[in-house]
Amino acid sequence: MSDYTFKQAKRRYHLVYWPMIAVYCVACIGGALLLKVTHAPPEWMAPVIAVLTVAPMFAVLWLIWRYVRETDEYTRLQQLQALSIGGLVCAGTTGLVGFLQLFDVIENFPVFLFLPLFFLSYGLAKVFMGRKDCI
Amino acid sequence: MENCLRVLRAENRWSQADLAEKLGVSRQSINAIETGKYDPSLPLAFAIARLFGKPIEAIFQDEQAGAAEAAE
Repeated sequence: MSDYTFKQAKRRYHLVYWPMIAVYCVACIGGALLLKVTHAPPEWMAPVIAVLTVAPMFAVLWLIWRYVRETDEYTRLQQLQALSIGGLVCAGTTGLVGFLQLFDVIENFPVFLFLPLFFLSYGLAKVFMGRKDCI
Repeated sequence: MENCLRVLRAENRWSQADLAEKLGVSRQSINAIETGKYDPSLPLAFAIARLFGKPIEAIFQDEQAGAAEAAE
């Protein structure tokens, strides 16, 4: 069994999750605005802003991993199933888009959409599993 | 695996949330165990048994073992 109770694990998750989401929103908007208003931005600026923008998302991914380890066993099972669905949907879509591009069916597909796709399918899977448990 | 967790909980007049709190798990976990959707791990089963002051086999019954005994 985990060293943390379910409530403690949930509290530890939310304690970092919401600040990271806030940082991500600020970084997204702020970074885009900064690049737009800066006249002739230096070469390093765009990649640095890109890395800083995605850093909170990496933090959230780490947070999910920590929550999976700390939460109770049934929630862990549900989380792992939802993460698997998210990963499988993302992997399948990546393959599909890759071949569509390879065969010149579609052109430039924004790759950054795969991260929201992962979170969307993971979230929907979690909601679906949660509904099944509501008795 | 069958169990009498719901009965034991009712005898103690605990809600699913109360029992979940005492065991440090989610209410959904208790619901899933009670409805037979999820079989707890040995540590959790021992924790449940300890809480109710009963041996594990008094709370959890193996359906297959029961069927085998009935067949004999």
